[in-house]
Amino acid sequence: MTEALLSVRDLRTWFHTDQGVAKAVDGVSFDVHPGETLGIVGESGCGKTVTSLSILQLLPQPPAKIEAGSSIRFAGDELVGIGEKRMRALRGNEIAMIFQEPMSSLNPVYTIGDQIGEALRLHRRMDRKAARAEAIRLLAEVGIPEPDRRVDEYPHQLSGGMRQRVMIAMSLSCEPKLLIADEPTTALDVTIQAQILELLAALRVKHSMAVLLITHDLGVVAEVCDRVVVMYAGQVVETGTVFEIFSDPRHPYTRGLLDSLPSVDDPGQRLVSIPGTVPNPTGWPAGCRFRDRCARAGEGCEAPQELVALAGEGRAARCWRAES
Amino acid sequence: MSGAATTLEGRAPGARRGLPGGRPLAALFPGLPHVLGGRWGTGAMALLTWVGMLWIVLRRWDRVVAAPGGAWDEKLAVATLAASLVASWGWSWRSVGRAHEVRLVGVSQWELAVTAFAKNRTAVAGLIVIVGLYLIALVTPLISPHDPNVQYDLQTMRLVGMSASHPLGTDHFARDVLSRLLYGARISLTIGFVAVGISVTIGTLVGAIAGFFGGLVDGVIMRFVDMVIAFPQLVLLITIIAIFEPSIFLIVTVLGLTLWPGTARIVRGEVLSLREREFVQAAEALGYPKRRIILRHLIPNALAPVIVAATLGIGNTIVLEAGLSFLGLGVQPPTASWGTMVSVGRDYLLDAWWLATFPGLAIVFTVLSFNLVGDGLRDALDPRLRS
Amino acid sequence: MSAATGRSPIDRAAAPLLSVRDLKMHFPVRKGTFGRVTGHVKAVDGVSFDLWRGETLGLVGESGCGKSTTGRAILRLLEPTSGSVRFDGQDVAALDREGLRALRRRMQIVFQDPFGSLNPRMSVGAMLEEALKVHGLGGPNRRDRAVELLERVGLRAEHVDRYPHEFSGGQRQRLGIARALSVEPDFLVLDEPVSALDVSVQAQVVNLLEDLQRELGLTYLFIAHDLALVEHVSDRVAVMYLGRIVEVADGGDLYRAPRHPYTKALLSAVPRPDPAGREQRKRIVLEGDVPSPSNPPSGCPFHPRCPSPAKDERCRSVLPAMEGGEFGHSAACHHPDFPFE
Repeated sequence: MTEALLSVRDLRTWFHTDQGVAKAVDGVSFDVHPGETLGIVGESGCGKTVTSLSILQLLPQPPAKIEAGSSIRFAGDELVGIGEKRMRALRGNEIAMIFQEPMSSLNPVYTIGDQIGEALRLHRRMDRKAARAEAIRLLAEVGIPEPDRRVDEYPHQLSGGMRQRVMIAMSLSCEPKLLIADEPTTALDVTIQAQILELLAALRVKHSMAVLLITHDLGVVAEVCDRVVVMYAGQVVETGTVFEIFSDPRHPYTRGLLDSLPSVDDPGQRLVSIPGTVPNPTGWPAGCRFRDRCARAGEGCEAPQELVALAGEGRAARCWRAES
Repeated sequence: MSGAATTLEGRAPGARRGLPGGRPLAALFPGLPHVLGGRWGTGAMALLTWVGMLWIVLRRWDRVVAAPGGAWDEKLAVATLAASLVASWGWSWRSVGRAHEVRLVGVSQWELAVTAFAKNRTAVAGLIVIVGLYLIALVTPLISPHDPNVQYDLQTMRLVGMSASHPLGTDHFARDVLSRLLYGARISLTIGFVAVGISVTIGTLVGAIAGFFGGLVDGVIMRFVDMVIAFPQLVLLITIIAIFEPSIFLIVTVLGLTLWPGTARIVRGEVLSLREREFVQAAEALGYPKRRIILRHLIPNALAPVIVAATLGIGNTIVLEAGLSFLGLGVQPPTASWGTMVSVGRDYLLDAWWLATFPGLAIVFTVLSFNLVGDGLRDALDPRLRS
Repeated sequence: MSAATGRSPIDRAAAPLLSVRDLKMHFPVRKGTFGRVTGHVKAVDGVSFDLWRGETLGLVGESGCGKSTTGRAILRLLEPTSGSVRFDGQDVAALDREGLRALRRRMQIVFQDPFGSLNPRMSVGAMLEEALKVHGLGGPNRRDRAVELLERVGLRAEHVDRYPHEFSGGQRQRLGIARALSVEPDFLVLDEPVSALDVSVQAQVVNLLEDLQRELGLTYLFIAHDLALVEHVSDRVAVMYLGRIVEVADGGDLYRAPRHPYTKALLSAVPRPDPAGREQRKRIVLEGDVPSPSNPPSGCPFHPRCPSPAKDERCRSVLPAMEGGEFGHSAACHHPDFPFE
């Protein structure tokens, strides 16, 4: 395999609050290779969003703190502790990010042309006229009809899907090597979601970007990802190719997630549910963090679980039973 | 990152917290065990009240004895004295005796707000000052060293600086400044409290009606509110006070009747957004009567910003009253109020600095305390700021 | 399907429990100081369906299609502009205040937002006891009944003194269900009851709803945007687009052989948890956005986005009617079943 574009090692992002230390991300490691789509999947509170915000160091510090020993390497350079100034040069330039709620990520008082243009003038030092022309070209590229008219509109004049396209256009403005997409289609309807996923897939190939897709939707993961990282309670519990994860899940949590999906092709069966709720990050359970909710919990689960390497490149699961 | 998950796993055993000193110490110094045990806010309030009231009993026993047969303000003062002594001692005794259980579940939003407020040290300090000021205002007839309106020898006692018999000096009519300051507190604090009380009551009712019924009712009410707001308040006040004889009653009424539109707007906005909330729709779907929906579901949820606005409003009203009195439109001489005292003191600023300085400081401290408490309440009552 | 879920068969020869005919809900758009009406948002524009006792009808569609408004208009949480709603033979629109209150014991609603649907200042016990008190239910000891309701929805007796903020999303949804059940209704409008929940918790709540339906003989109108979920819980499914129902069918039929081009596109757009088949699967990606319901297109409301090659002049000018039998598979399309991919 090629050398990783982004390499996260033992990332621990803790929140130091009055109520105690919330270990939102607690020892997460994964690689993103050039040009691939890696999905981080998990339920709310599993730490997937904190992971993505940690990469760009967009979390308020304090209360958040990327603990000593954590490492985030991007294109060979260490990002932890490089300082705000160098991080700013990287954000939006080498690494771009799009969010779930495109309305709140766009500034309502500027036209979309101004906002795309701002990124271009800042990072690519274009003049006003060139930036406008480039903004129109980008809007056309992300499939916005009549881009020369839309460029002068304000965010509230666009639909949710259009706004997400504008966010994608903005993120493309500096030809990033890595695009972090945090629940990019969660707020959208299925037909619009299909449009945006198709657009992202096409742009990824065209610009040879890597995409880090953060989502809770296993369907979306199955449609677009090459490899998958499953997170639970601040840890990676399983990694593998999308085919391995969906056809042969080795961690009971991954299996539970897949089983709890109602299937279009096989209706009428009673849904399999995972009992209980996600534990609180201020006090993860001792031993295996999934033990309380696991149907197979028993002897051997009292110890903290390590990732067990399995057959296959980068395949692992955090369960001592994973090999069987 | 919500605390929900920890509270799910059964009823957590109540953590018991004893207080140092226990009942023996609480009997002698109510509140001291609480201060030592970390509950310094309520503890300090009880302790200060107890010590202060005891001081009055010991040093002003003659007045305390005479007060029940005196004027109404003396009766009120002695009643306050007795009530404060009983309350601070009784509260301390009871709460020390009860093993204090820290509940982890079944804690309402109001209780959470109190807990959050108690953690805000500056706000608690502000609250202690405010409670102290109101208590002092109530017991003023018992503690004031002189009659505020008695003029001493104008030849020798006029504009004399600080001394043992006149701790804050005397004014241009040879009256005791400290006594006038104490009596002035009664006027200023009462005006603030009553005027805001009137305006909050009117504002809440008007705002809730406008917000709940909407449509034409809302349109008419809110246009009227706009009119009241658009009318320059100071001009209105000055006009009304110029037409009628200035009196405390008139000032309170006019302030109360002009300040309510702010509250009305807040409450209307809250009620409008609450009406769209699903729990209100659920109440409708369950067939609850309108009155129940307004009283049980809408008003309790619209109250938080009103409480904050009212607290900040008392401070503003005190400043407003001081301003009016400063202009000669407020409380009329010889009655002491902080505003009139500053107004008079202005003429003697270079010769007798104490005349304007102490009432000025009193206004600043009081308003500052109200603002601190208001800010503290805002933070404590805002569920978004509480994780 | 009834075999798998253990549900008793639905007697469709009997009179329907709920019968909705040509329901319309138009919201006036007001402008200016005097609230001049400048137009109407036609949120629901002629919806008709029947619902039999013990049945679950799924109502699916994208945001803004009018599915939630339909649910609220049926319960008269909104006053419908026109059309009729008959519940167990009674005309809901004609009821006076007392009649409506009595009806609301029989029709209840469960909301989407587990954070907004509970009064934050009321304890769970107070909330449930209030509903019992208003309707004179629960006998002398309402608290026991409240505890019983909590246990019924999978919570515990000790939860009765807690406040909504002390529960997780899934538990709050259970509380919303307990509140709806407190008045012993026959019919529940479930308005996106699990959309805000995590996948694993979704399954818990869906299973609870199915258990309750079986045990209490409830009738559901299940409103959701998640097609797989709707198919799982529903006996029949109605697809809505721009305020109208465009297709109704038994769940399985709709998913196996959709007739309306919108349904086809909607089904093909659902991401499936099956990466192996993703290369082969044909996807219909619709162009553009849903038009504004204040100014719907002429003719078939779907025609500007319709990918069907059979689209013709009639689609642009004539509103298609629902074609098909009463219990059969009907669609509102001039060219149903036209094959395309």
